Amino acid sequence: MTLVDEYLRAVAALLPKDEREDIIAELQDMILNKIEGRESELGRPLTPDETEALLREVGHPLVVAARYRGGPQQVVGPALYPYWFFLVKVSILILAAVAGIALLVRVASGWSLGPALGHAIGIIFDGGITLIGSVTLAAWVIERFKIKLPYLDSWRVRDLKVFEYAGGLDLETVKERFADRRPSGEARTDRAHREWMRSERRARYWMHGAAAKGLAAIAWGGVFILWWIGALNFGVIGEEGDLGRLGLSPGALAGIDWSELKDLLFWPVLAIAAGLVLRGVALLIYPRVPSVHGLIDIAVGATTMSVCAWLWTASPLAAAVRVDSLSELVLRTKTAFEASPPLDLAPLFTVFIAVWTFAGVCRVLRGAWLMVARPGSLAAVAAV
Amino acid sequence: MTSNDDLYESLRMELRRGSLTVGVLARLREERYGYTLRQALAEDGLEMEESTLYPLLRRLESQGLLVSEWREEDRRKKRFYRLSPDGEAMLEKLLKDWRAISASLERILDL
Repeated sequence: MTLVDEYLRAVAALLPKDEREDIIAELQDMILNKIEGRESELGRPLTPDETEALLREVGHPLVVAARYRGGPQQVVGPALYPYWFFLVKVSILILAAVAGIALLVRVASGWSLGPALGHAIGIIFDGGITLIGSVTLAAWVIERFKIKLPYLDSWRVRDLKVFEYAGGLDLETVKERFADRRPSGEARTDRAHREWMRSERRARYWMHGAAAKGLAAIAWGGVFILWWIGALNFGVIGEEGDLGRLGLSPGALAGIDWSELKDLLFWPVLAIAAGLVLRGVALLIYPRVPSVHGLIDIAVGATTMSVCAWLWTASPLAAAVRVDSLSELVLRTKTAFEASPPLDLAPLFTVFIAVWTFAGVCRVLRGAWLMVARPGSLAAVAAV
Repeated sequence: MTSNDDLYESLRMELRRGSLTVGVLARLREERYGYTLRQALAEDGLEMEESTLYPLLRRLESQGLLVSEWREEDRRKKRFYRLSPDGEAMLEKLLKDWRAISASLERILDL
């Protein structure tokens, strides 16, 4: 077998089967022409070293095959890169915040500072790699399958404030952002105060724009899903931890098998989190189609209510957390928060499930409202 | 190579990228195979690497701008390319744009 044949076999192995024969025939012709041209210049046949140098000029088989293959030649293309970078930055910031909370909780629950700090750094490192990998995979899928994101072409100026808030996260910007801008001293007239109130309201309104909500839902939902499926490990309370040090007591929940409960809840909770991420994506792709958001809201709200109903009536927690009347719920809420530490976990769970049930009902109602609202109407925009 | 040379090289590549396609389409008004096309372009002052030219020819063919056929010449099978009717129309449009850009630059440079 000649060097050229060997080279062509390597290229062929990297090409799609249906085009292989055709491309290799053409490539072979090109290489033989090139060799003939070089040989006629030199007036003698090429040595093996010269042939190899010529094949190197043609290119490494991986590079040559990639040029012939269709599809993008990069994982994240230049059009998507700024969005990719922004999501990575925001996700890492969320991860750093979670690691900070985990550090505080671990120290409070009895860990010594060194191992707790090491654990927090581990969260940022391992989680960072997982998050960057996930965002990159999402970008690759968008590039590879040429998925069109209408937001990239039809973004709205009213949604851009989120980038102003999240884009310049350096110390000076943070200081500036949290600085008290209320007029003081002589400047503190009624008019100046009213003006300040107006600007604060405007800032809050911008922060709640569709893009801000969408990106926040994707980032938080994404981090939650990765944690829930075990790709991120925050391990807030570790083996050395102690609920008692956090001022909590398992009480009636002492005998619960938490890993069995998590197995039972795995798919429903994953579905709710995926629904929230989907709603974030829908806010970016279809910001002005309320029925899409409404449909997702109804599905997520109904799933949340079902999960809460199961926890309340049929789960291993039911006997410890269930109350049968509103007055009993009020009493238990008072018990949960008025007791002196250690706080009993069971009433806290009762309140937690009640709040989530209420949130589920509100979400279903909002979904129904969005389904009937006219696209672009004030009611629809306010509810989105 | 200094960073200034790198910058020049990258800007030059950017400038050439679009014009190579126009050059290839224009040269394929007359039927040619890859090797002779590359020679013709080089004679016109438009040097092009084989690794760029051959995948470009396939891409333009898959886009319907070129048609090709395998024929034997000099005891070797060769793939001959020429402009398709769609390619002709596309070339006319691109040439119109090219001339407009060229005229604009001429006006700017004359100032």
